[in-house]
Amino acid sequence: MSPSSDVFPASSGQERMWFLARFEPDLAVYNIGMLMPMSARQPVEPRRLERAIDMVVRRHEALRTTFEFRDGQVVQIVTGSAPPARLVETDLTHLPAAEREPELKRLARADAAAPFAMDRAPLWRARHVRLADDDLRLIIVFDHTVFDGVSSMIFIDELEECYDAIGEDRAPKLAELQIQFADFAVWQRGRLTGEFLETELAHWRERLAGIPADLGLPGDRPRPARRTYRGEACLGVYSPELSSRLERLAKDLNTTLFTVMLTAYAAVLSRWSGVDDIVVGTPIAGRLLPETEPVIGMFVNAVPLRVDLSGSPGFREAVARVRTTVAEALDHQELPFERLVEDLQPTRDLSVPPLYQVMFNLASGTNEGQIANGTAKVDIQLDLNMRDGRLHTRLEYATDLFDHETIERFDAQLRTLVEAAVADPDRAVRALPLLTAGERERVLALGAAEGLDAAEGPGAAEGTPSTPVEAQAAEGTPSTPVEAQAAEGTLSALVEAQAAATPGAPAVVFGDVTLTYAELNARANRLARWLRKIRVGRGDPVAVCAERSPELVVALLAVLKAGGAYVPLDPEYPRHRLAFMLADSGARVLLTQRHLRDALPGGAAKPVFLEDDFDEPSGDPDPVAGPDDAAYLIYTSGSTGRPKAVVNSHRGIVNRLAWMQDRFGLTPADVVMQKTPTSFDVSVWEFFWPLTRGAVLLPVRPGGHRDPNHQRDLIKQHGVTTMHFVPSMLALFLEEAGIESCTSLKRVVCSGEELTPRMAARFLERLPGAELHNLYGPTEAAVDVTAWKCEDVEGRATLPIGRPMPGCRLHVLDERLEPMPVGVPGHLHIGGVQVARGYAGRPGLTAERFVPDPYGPPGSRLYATGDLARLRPDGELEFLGRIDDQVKVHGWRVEPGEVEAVLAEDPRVRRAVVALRNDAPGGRGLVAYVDWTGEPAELAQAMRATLARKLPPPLLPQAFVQVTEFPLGPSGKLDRAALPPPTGSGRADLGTAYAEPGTPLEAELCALWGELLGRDRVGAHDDFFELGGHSLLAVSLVTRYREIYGIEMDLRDCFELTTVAEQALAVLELQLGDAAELEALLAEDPVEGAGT
Amino acid sequence: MSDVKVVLNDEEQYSIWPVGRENPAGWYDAGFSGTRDECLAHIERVWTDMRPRSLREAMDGGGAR
Repeated sequence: MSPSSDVFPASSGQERMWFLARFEPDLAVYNIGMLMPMSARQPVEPRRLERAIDMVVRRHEALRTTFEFRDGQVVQIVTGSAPPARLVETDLTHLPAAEREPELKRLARADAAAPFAMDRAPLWRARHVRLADDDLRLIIVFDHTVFDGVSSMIFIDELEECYDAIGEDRAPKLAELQIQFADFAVWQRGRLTGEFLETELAHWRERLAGIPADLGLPGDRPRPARRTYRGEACLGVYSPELSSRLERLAKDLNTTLFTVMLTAYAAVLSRWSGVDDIVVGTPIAGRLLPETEPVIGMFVNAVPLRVDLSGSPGFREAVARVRTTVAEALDHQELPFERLVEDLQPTRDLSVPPLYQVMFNLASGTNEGQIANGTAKVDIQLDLNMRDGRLHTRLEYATDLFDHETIERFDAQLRTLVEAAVADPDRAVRALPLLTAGERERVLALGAAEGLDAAEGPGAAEGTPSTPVEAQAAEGTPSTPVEAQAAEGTLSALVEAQAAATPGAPAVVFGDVTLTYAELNARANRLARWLRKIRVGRGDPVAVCAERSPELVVALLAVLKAGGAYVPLDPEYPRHRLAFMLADSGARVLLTQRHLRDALPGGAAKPVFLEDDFDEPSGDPDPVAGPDDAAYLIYTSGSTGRPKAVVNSHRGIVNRLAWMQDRFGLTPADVVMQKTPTSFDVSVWEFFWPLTRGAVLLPVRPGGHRDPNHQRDLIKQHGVTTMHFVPSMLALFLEEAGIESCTSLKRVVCSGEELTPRMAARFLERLPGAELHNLYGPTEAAVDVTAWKCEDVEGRATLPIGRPMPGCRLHVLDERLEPMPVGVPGHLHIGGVQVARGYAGRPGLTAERFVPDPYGPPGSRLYATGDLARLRPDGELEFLGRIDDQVKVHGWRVEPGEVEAVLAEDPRVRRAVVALRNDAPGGRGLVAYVDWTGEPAELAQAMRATLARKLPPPLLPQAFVQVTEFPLGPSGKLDRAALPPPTGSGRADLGTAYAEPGTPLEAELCALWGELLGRDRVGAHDDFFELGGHSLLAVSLVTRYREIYGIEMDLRDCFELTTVAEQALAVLELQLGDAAELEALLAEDPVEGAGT
Repeated sequence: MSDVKVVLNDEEQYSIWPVGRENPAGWYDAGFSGTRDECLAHIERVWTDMRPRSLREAMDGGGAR
């Protein structure tokens, strides 16, 4: 420090930027770069320019200021004099003319991207670039701690005046400055105390109560645990017509362009995020005192504008709300943003911009010379500038989250919405379109499979018995004898045709028993005729309750042949549930096995035992049912209410089988394992796909669907080529020994739960010869409606569910049934031939979930799945969970699957499930259940440390429970309700019990922490931040470590190693500076290892 | 408050649709409007045979096709 320096406290804004610079020393997030064309003064004289800069620097202390950390606070140091400015000179005249401008841009970006060392003067840099002998440009970059937007205008004006004055050999006409920035900083510090501070804080506390912790914009990638601050910008410009109509609208609505555009911006953000409570940050010049106006310095402040779009306001009404919000914020603009953050969100969180994640600004002057430097301060920032009669848009975005194309879509959608709002300001904000007509058509078309017209032409609307089944038209495989007769379009007709084609081929193999196609068909025919005799008619429900066996296959087929619809009842279900389904379905006949008789409920249904001999002719009975008759009724139990029976038609399921055949080409050489209980619709294709294609149907013995060991043996013994797993069961199977020898497996189909990339990767690793397919669909749409082949699964955050099958349409819609833009989550709806008829005997529920389809043939319906999904730019669909399951923890929207995925990355984790529980320690929150192969005592600590590095803190589970088995429901899916309470398994590591320091070093650190944090007693496992530590205290801690131990701990480490024990080890490591030495030391004293 | 209405299609399948928005092609007003719950309760009462009309007519008209 030179003798002529003065020391002042830093303003709170400077403090925050200083801290960030310390924290991210390689990034220049807060650089302000300008490219000055100097066009009016060409050719510019470099020496004169240097002298002009010197004059400006002499006028403004801020340009002679640096920062240091002294006595626990950040101070600004102003030097009385600065060395003469020296421009870095770059001559580009040697380059071909066409390369000069690009090179200038590159240089500008590089200069703007180079960080400043905060303790080294000056905190600005300038370069003049000679593009031609008569064209000299100035690149000048300032650190934001000493500069702001208004400063840039002051700087340009003064520089030009000084340059001219020197040329004219006169004194510049610039008024004497009354104050300097440091004076303001001191004044501000004095003002922000006592009652004024309290009043301002109280206002903002009330105004921002309950704001979402994260707006949750749908990104191209999940938010990383730590922001990189990397960003890019996307530029746009509105037509002069739209620009002037916008200004006119602002006038008509008695407000400003700022307010109108902020409303439109918030409207788009609301649609993207799905919330109507949007907090947008905006910079405020912060120069309320007139004497601050001509001074260069960091006066700017940011205020949060909370835009309320609830209750479906019209655009005009929304603008009025925003106008009030803006006026109110201006009345309370003096409280520095940092003070607000400290007060409202003191928790450390390195992943999310605090208070608001989006910004908005309308620059009053030009922002043309602004240099992008590859950083972004928030997720999305919209900067507007009206110049030459056109509104220019600049969207700066975090590349952590977004791809350029995504932000281009945002830009286009904002413009579309603005156009519509200008045209009709009374229209409801949520009804304003984001998509142009053309884009809307394109998005809708993405939801339809290719060849849809063939499968879903006029007359094929579901529920219309019409021409032979269109689904077959979608088939691309060469014609087999079956194809000709598939025109019948019922499952039974297809099996009959196959039996006629390959009567001697094995149809069902079960233990020692083999039924040929002829035998199966004959037995089913005899039973079907018997059923007709006991007055089972077309469309009648017939209950089937039997264990997996050849009899079960005969029974299902016989019901269809008789013209009825089968109602599968799982013998493993509780009796009261079976009784309910039996009564609710209205089945008059119950096909069952004698040994199950005692387990079955009594009731009106007449039991018929499958072991009995049905003395009837064995020829095919005359068909009575057509493609639009019901084929099966399967019960589903939604999240609420009693189970309901979904009625599916032959047409739907035949279409589904046609897709499968087209996709996989099953042949008589194939063996299909049947292990899904009949009560789940996956079993429908397991039964009928092989039987309509001459392949072998191989039922697993009763109970065998839960036994991966048995499944492996069956695969090997019978050469199984095709099977299905729900992911929960696949996880178990993949850990079974010896599955590598299951080389007959050609394809495995997954559905029913979310398939994770990790599981798919494990599959491809263990079963390299087999394909894995991820299918999606509800019972209400004939088993599955989309499929995705698992390839290139590494590095994906989620696996897509793929594209619609032929004959199906999938639309991601808003609550008005309008299509959501690509990338934006919405409610997934299904249309097309596979849509079920409805819920048997539940007209109200059917009407609610099966809604008029605006995009299909006249009179068709869409099934509203209750699932959240989005379209990816490539047309693949991404499943995002149940709409009802959207869980919020501590104000955060939480996706448990995201946490599960990170847990599963650890090789010691066999499987992890994360659940939201009310009985989590510390109250409602996430609990992780982990099948853990590591040391039991290490689970919580190891996983917490791992997750802390990869996930935002709100996603960290409050407890870790070690489990070896996950409770599964009857379908093999995870039964979340049956997970044990987190306190039940004797976990000790949940609270913050005091732990004695284990070493002298730990004891020293405990004492030091206690001193810094103002606590009497700190334990070895106490968490710095839970004890009230915050970012500046962390800096103090690093400083103390330096003083006491002579080490330089990385500030970031303080955020990852948060306990005394962990930091003690880090201190030791740094002191020794040699990992090998440390390991040797640790080996001698194993107790010391705690904390790693 | 009547923000929703009951609609039906040629197959006499019922559903609900917002009042004031044009019906999708092939859907007709059933002449009842009210709250969502009222409309669903109305449908619960009137939609007694849930088979699509063409299927119902084919079946009632003589069974086998």
